[in-house]
Amino acid sequence: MIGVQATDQREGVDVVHYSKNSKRRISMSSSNSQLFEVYREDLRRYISKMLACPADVEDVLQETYCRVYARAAQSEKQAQNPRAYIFVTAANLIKDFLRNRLKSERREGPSVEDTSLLSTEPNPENEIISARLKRDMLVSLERLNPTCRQVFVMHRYQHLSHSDIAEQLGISVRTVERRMRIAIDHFRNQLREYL
Amino acid sequence: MSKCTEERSASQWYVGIHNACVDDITLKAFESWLEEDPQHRDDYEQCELMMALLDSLADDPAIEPFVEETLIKQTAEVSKLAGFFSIFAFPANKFALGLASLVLATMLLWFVGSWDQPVKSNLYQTGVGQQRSIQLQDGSGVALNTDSVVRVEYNNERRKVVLENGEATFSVVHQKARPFDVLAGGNIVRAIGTRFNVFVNGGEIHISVLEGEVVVVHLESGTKSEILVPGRSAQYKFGGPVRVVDDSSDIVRIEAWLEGKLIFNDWDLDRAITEHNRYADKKMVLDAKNLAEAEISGVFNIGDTQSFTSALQEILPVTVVEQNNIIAIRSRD
Repeated sequence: MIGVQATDQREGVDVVHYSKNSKRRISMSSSNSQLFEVYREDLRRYISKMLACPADVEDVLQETYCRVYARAAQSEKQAQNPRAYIFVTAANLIKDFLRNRLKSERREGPSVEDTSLLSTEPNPENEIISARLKRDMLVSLERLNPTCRQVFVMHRYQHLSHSDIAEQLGISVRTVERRMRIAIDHFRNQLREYL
Repeated sequence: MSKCTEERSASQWYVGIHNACVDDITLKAFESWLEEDPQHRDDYEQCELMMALLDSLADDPAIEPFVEETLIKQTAEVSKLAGFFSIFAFPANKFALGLASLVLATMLLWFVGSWDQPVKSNLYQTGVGQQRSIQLQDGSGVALNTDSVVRVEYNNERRKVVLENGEATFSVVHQKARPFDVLAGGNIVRAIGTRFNVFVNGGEIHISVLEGEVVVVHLESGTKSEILVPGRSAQYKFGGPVRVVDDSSDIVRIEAWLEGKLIFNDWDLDRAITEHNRYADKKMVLDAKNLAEAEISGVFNIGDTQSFTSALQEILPVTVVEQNNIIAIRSRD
């Protein structure tokens, strides 16, 4: 929600500045682009459900457009169900985007713009994912069965391997994997509106 | 989404593939599973996206309490084990040793078993107009108001209650080692030995303390509110920041519903009607907007719509018309 509002406020003001991560900008005028236009607003809503920064939303949107356009001729899937194809492409890009952003933050620490603010307060401007998604994820983590939550947290947030977790908790690797699977099914169910 | 049980699900594959020592055979099998059905690929990609989203919380301060929780559990288990081994090391003669190892074996069995025990989760609910009181295993009590759902999950570390919907008053028996937490509207209400009421009213949540002390923990940031005492209540929107305000009027309303009564003390008519409707299948509609802010007072039994409507006709210039399962309150003139 917040992301969408911010987009509206900023649109047409200084989009280029906020799109610092974007590598390509392409303008299209063919009929392929019309296909994309049909879903553009839906797609923007979908992406802004997940990403906090309007610039990131625009970047993913643009990148999706590029991919869909580039593969227009060769993809059967796209012809059969263009909407599904476009949304799956966007989902993949969001996934890559999150992975890359996370990696680069680990390597370099927060970006220059972030540190120049000289503040340790959480700044909504620097958030990657939307506040609503974050809240929903925390609530579903809270709702997860505690034994599964323990395994999940150790694996994803303490970065322990299945066998390390098994050893630490004195349970079998199979049990660790079973609990991970239950956790994943739980999240898929709880967060289905985003997937 | 769920296929027949023979087949491995997307989540099973995800876990299998993300094992550090995954072998080629598994990878091959995974590839062919993906090719088998387009739905498989979609399901699997859903898992990937979801995990990427969840992983993005990794460096977030909001995740710290969860990590802390597992660390506490781990140390607790280690010290439990250390306790077992000291029993083992103590006895001098063989008989005692044998006995001790038997005890140890039994305890270990119990301990290993306890890991696989599903956490007991009990769901309690009430329909519109119903009320219910529940005694929990630790002696704490829950009074559930109309149209409410509460889920109770107790384990050795924590007494957790999720108020999914509606309103409940909790009477908590204090246990130092096991906090009593109510999850409501994306925040945690932690009792410090007390009686308090939580009301999930649409997206707006109200916490009032009747006795003792309560603190509200904001789930996202982990920040705690000031300590709430009777007369100081907390309000927040779903998952939003917590506001603490002076408010003792709500206590009258709460003590009233606990007694099965509605007490209106200079309430605006439309608020009184809204309150009445929470308990009634047959909803009342105010068809006289000019009277919305007319103040009324009175005491009624919950569910006694008849007394309420006749009182309204006595004290206000209105008529009551019943039609299509709706009770319309109309201006008389």
